[in-house]
Amino acid sequence: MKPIHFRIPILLLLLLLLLLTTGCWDRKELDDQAIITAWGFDLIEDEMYTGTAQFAIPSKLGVGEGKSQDKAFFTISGNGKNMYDASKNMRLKLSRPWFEGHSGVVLIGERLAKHGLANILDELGRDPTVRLRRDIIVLRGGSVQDFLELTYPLESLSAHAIVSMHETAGLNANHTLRNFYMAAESEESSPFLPVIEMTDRSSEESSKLTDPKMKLWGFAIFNKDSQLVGYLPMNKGYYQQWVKGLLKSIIVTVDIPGEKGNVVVEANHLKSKIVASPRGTKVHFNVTLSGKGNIRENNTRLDLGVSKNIALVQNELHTQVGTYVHQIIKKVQPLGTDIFGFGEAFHRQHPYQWNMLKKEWPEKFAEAEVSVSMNLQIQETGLTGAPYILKNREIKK
Amino acid sequence: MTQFRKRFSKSSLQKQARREVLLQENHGHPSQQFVADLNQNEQAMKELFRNCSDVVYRPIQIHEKKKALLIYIDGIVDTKSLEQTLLMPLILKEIPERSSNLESFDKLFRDQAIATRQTKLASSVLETVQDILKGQVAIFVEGENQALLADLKEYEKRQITEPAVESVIRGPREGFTESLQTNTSLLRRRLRSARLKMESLTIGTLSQTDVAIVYIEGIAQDSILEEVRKRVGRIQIDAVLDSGFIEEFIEDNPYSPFPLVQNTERPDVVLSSLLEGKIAIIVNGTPFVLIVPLTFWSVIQAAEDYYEHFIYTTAIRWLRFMLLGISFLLPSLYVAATTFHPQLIPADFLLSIAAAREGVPFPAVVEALLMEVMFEALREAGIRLPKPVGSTVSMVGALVIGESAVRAGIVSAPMVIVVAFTGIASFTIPRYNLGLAFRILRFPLLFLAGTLGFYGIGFGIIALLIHLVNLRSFGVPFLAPVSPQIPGNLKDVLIRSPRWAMNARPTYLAGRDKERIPKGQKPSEKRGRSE
Amino acid sequence: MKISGLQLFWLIVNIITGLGILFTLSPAIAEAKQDAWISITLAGIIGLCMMFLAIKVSLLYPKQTFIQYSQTILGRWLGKILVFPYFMMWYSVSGIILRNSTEFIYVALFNETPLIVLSIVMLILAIYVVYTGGLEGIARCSELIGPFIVLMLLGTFVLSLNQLDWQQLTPVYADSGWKSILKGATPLVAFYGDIILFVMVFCFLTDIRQVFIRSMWGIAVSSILTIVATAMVIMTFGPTLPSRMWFPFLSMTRFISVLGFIENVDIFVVIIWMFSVFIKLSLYLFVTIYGTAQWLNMKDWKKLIWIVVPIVFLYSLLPRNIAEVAVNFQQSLIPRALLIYVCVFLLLLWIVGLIRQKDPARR
Repeated sequence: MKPIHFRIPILLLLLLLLLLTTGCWDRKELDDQAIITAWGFDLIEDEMYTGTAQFAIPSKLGVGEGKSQDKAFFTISGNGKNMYDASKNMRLKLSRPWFEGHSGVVLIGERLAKHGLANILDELGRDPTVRLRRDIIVLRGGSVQDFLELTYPLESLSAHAIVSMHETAGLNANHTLRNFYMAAESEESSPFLPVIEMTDRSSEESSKLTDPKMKLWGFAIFNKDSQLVGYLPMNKGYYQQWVKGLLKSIIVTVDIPGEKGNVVVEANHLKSKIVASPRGTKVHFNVTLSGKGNIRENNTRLDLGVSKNIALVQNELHTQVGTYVHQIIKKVQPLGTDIFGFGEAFHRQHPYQWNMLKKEWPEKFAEAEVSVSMNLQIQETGLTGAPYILKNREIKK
Repeated sequence: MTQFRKRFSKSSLQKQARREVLLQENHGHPSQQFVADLNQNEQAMKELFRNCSDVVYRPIQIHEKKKALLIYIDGIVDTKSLEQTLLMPLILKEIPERSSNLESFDKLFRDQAIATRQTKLASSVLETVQDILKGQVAIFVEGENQALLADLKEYEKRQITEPAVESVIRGPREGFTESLQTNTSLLRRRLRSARLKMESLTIGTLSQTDVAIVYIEGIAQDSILEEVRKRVGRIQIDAVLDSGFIEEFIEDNPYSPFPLVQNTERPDVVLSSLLEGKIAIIVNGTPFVLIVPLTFWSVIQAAEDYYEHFIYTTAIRWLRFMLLGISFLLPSLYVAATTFHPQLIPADFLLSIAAAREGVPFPAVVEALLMEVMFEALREAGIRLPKPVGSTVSMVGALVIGESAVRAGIVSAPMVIVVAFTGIASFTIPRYNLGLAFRILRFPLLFLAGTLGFYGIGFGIIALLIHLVNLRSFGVPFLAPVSPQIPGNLKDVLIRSPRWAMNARPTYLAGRDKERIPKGQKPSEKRGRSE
Repeated sequence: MKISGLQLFWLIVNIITGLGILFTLSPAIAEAKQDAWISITLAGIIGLCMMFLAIKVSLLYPKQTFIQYSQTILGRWLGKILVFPYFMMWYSVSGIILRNSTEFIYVALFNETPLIVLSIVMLILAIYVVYTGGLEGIARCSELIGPFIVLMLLGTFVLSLNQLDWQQLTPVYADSGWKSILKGATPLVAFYGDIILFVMVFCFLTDIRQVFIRSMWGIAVSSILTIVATAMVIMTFGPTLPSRMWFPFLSMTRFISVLGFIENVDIFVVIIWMFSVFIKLSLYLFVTIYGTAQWLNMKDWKKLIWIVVPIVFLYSLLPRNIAEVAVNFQQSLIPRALLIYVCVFLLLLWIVGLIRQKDPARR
């Protein structure tokens, strides 16, 4: 047994020598890397891509006392025939190799989105440092580079602000890339992405104001070739998310007939159920949206402590939201892009018929009949039934 | 095995021979006997104790006729009782005249004068010399070819104090001292059973150090006990100054950074180990008692664990486990994460580390090594420096490293935090010598992390695992009872079960007597009421 | 060198679960889509049958390894010749494991470090444990590592709970049909060639009576873990996306986000996977070396390490790229033919062995 104890140290020594002499290949010091916080891609002309990256400047970020007022980031852009070519040109301006494991956002310019996202998505899926958690957002109007140069008052890196805004809006920010992939690769669905825009303001004026210069705008609808085909503004987009089953809460304003004001309801625990039923050559879908509501604002004379009035609000809400959602679906249908999950529902409920249907699904989706029913229970009215400020006789019991 | 035994017996014969040669050089020929002439005997003794100024030759006259000679070593003999029990009766004629030969003295001393101490007759020079060296008084009488040896051993001892290394908040505060007798008495006082055995033997050709192998009969496993006897018995050394000397001879794998023998200053730790079936080796002259076999999991078992409430203790054990991991891994993880896999660190955190590292001239590995070495230096200085200077060092260390180096941008603040936390974590390991192993191994691991990142750390951990898995301490696997897993023995590893639930002794340690606590003693309200 | 029943259980879990989840999910989902979990269940049952066969054969001569009892049953020369394909399988699979796993670690963690370095590092560990500990060392390591692998899987499952969409599993059966489901089971069944490895291990058990329960539990637990992993991957990424990923389970761990802080935990998963790879590689090396030594009637099997390891290492360098490693190996003919031969031969051995043991004259 004795020789073992001698041999192992020798082996280890050899190993150490091997490692020492050949060097440390993947070792990169943090201070020798440029940390990318956001990417932006766009198309400037046909077959000419431009890539922009936002880099953090750690020393400016400074923790605690060292916090400076300067911009804590800078951007670099480059053009090229493809993504890789563009990034190669970008690297020529950079003093350090970059590290993109922490870039949380990928911005897509409108022109590129219309041209198609196929090659960008391929690059993102291939790179092992890229996470599927990335937020991918379409920029509506304006140039990607200008957008990445914007500062945000609360966050020192505007890239973080974008993700946080997205998250705060209740739209699972870091599922966008995965959802896009899943939809693009599936037979049923069409992908969609959130849209952000720069709020319009001339530069001179904006230097004085400190309000954020970016805003979530809505959603972009893509076809199966990952090309942008239409937009859905946020007020409509929320309902689309609800139908798709991705939304957690929504604020709905209900106009009350015969009253001047309206009632604002916050709905939580949102659910959506789609029932598909083939009818001849066409397909019929019944969407049931359900949830639990809380009254947040009452601008009418109704006493919401009375259940009759609550029922009234509820009924109004059902008809108004139902019609609205129906309109939205009708508006999207001609695009042939199923962003509501109808195809999945059909597939799950009628798997065998789906096999015959799936080849012409976009057309079938376009001509599908849709009905919307609602089941939203108003459960709470806040701390009061009737508005505080009204006199007793003004209150409508 | 048989081959092994043969080799062993052969070498032990050789050792026996060698030992005798050494003894001859020191203490005369073993077969040399006293003669019936006092002068000659005195000459022989003086020849042996040549240039030993601490040997006292005290001639006396018994009944004013018979010449006698007392030989003893100054300082290890109780002079007061020497006077009272030996000199007074001999000189003051309390002894009847007719019985003035040694044998009758012997009987007399045994029966009346110094009944509590041992006396014996010896005719061998060698034996007498050895006994004198151990603190006995030799009495030679004219015309006798024997010497009377009276045990009057007494020397300066340190008081029993609280042990410095393993301190507890709750629990006994007595610690071992340098005296073997005191130590065995500390054990015996707490375990009044005849089954507590103490086999004594002498090691060291020059030092003749008393060593006791302590175990509880029936609880200690015979095979382990036999192995301990064999390993301790074959040690051949000039002097044993500390139990560490013994430890290095009886370890299973001398090249392992891990200690395979436990040491402690606490009698309660020794006894609780004995009750599990372990075996203790007490060495005269050191307060550190060895306990074998040692298993890895005792790294997180502190003495106090068994005195405090078990829920609290379990939580503390988990904390210790975590801290053990931190003390071993943290610098490597930090280096690997920042230089190889920055995507592991949450974005905000990464950016603040990057901000701190901006301008630091060293690569992270070098920075970590530097700081670690600096920390170890501070720690070492803290132990070695004379007490009054100690505070200066810690102040300079804290100022220079904690403040100035960071300010100057030579090291980054996160690294200082990492190293400091690692240091603190390493102090929480209850077994100092096991903690040392992890402290040492931290450096190769750091190196691996610096070359291969997390893969290197994985390599280090697996290599360590293989090493630990192959280790044995006196035949008991080092990682027992987790690997090999011994069902029913896990009550004292990751959790500390309540006392009434630890019914059996560890099966991999204990011998015949497996049961420890009869079952069904779980206290409950109902039981309390019925009684 | 003796191993306990519990150690056998952990060996099986270690060897089948880790790499199985890593490499077989993608092809299984490609074939059977959202019904891949049925395929995996099926594969698990087949695995149980294979284990049953292996145990039954080994129990004929519980004191002998496979190499020994195949000679006892079939006679010296026939036995020696007919087990040759086993060596082909063991040598090639050892090489493939080495290549596979380092390739995986390379993709997950590195981009400039040469692959050879990673292979050598892994081999050093395997040699270390085989040389110093033998089977006992491997079994003890697996006993320590096994719980961590299971914990890691369970942890991943729990942390992924918040992003599951169970509807992705529907419609059941309609899209795939039994043909696809069976096809989806083949990659994992091919992986279960590892089970046959244990014919060399059973005779080291301290208590041979435990062999049945422990091994069956081992297969069952790892099958269940694989089934859950498959279902979770489908519920996270849907039925199509995972088939295009090399390592869907790794992607799933990358997708974990809890409290906004527990993110990007994939590196820990990779490291724990490394442990699993280490166990598997060293067990394969041990069996290959020990088997070769017995085949050559060598007493000192440890000397063969220095011959077997270079062969395995060179073999691991053969495939040119990851596609060859991950896809072609499992779909190419030779390994499948080998696997079928290996199973059929075991069955044959069992029948012949039974007849011979029944025959009083032979006794």
